[in-house]
Amino acid sequence: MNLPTESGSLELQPHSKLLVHQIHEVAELFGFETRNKYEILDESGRQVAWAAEQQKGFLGFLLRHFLGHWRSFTIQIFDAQRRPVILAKHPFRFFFQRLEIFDATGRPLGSIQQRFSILSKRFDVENERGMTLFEVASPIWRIWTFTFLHAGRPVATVAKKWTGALFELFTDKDKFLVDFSEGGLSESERKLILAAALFIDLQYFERKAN
Amino acid sequence: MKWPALYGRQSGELEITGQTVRFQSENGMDIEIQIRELMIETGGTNSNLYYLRDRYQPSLSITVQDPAPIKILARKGVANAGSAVGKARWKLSFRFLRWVLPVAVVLAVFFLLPYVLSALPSSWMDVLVPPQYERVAGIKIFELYKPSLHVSENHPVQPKLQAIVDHLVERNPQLKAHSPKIYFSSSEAVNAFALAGGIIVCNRGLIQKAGSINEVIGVIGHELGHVEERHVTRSLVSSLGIAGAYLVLSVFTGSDLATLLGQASNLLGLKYSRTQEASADDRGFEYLVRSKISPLGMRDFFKRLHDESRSTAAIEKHLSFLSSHPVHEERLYRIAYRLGQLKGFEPEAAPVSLAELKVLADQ
Repeated sequence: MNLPTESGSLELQPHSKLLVHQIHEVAELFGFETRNKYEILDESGRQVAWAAEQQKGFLGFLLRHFLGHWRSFTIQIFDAQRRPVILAKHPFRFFFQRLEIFDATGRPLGSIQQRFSILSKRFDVENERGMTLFEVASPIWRIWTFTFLHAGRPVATVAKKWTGALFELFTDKDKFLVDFSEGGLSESERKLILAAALFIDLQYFERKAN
Repeated sequence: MKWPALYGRQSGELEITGQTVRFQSENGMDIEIQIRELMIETGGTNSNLYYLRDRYQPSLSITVQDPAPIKILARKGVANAGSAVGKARWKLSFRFLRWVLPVAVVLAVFFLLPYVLSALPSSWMDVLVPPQYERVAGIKIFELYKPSLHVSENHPVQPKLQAIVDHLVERNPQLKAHSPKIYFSSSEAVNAFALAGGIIVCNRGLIQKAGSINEVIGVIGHELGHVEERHVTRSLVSSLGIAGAYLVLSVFTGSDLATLLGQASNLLGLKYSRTQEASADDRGFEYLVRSKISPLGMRDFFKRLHDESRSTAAIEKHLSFLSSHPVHEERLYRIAYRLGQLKGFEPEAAPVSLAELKVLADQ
């Protein structure tokens, strides 16, 4: 498929909730880690954007299968007209994974930075200057919900939705509800939280390296 | 000097100018707080954040992450700036230690303890896993893997190999408790190995490669050393510990740390098998001497493999033996040293000849 090369536009301000839905491939049922693809739906189930990992081909398959989330990769988010709007780059890291977020013109929006933790899942959402905007510290017993805090106050939540035992066991078919609970979030903050939902899936729910 | 800062969630830069701290954002926001009215608080769940607040207007709050401006403010006499940096540093250290200490305890229990247990003297090992239990388990494991080991139970060479074992056991009564039994494998790989429960397997490749009967007996003596020292069971106990630690760390920290532990345990395993090899050499040497079999065969066989292992082709050829029995200079020196200590030793004829062993092995 040929994708348009001009930059698109994605307005997340009108949406108070988004559903990130991983598109499932049959090969995953047989243990093959395929290219990650997601559709992003609004509250009424209408597609507002979609996201796809850019590492194609056999090399991409090998890296996904054997390096898991350690690999370096790029995820592009497209608007409903298939025009690129957000680019997320994941550099190779053994520890403290990072996802760097850029807009369609290549301007940095910020990054997601994993932090040291044991018995909890911790990461920060940083702005373009590296300042921590939101902190996420999800304890081990709350495995499905990630609350984004600013100055100790919740501003957004990413919650994994249960999709049924069969799919949870055998595929990475995940659904994430992104809830922008605070109305005052800026457009770039919403985009960072949306990218964080993808980071959560890749970091905590994708099958690990073989 | 300017530092990245936030006012609310508005991104900008912080500057310390004379008697004020100043925040400026790209969209023109400009806020100043007098240093004498400044109050500094620390916060942040994952990282250290410093909140610079006007004590008379606490809602006027600038956030920085870099401790450098706070240190400058401490030098400028801001009352709690110095303690804020110290407090933030302690908070991170405490969080680190709070989790590192329990993990260290888990590691000690699941990893080091079995490692220590596996290195206990034989008498302790007998209490931990009685030899009769090992024997039962060993036979079951052997039956399970027999087809893949190419073992032929009624092969004509088997009684000859058992005669060698019986000869060594007769002169070394401590081996009787393990009732060692040897099996012949038609594998061409140059190898012999001990399994749990006193079971030894000798490959056809080893008999074909041997230059003298003493070399075959030397290797069998070495394997009997593994049997007496119960190395297979020790390795199993040690592996269970590592597997336990891997499981616990996987649950606590995700797979990354657990994977590193796995790598570390591989290295430890290698070191451990070297220790086992040296110990099996020592035991084997003693059995040979007591049985009046020349230990030169043991040395010759290992030395030949060691010399040949310098060429890639030979490594491939003898990979099987070398991978399970790493031959190091150190091992050869130890055997040579013990040979040098041997005074007035008169070897006797071996119970079996190499020629008949080779003929029978080829059948």
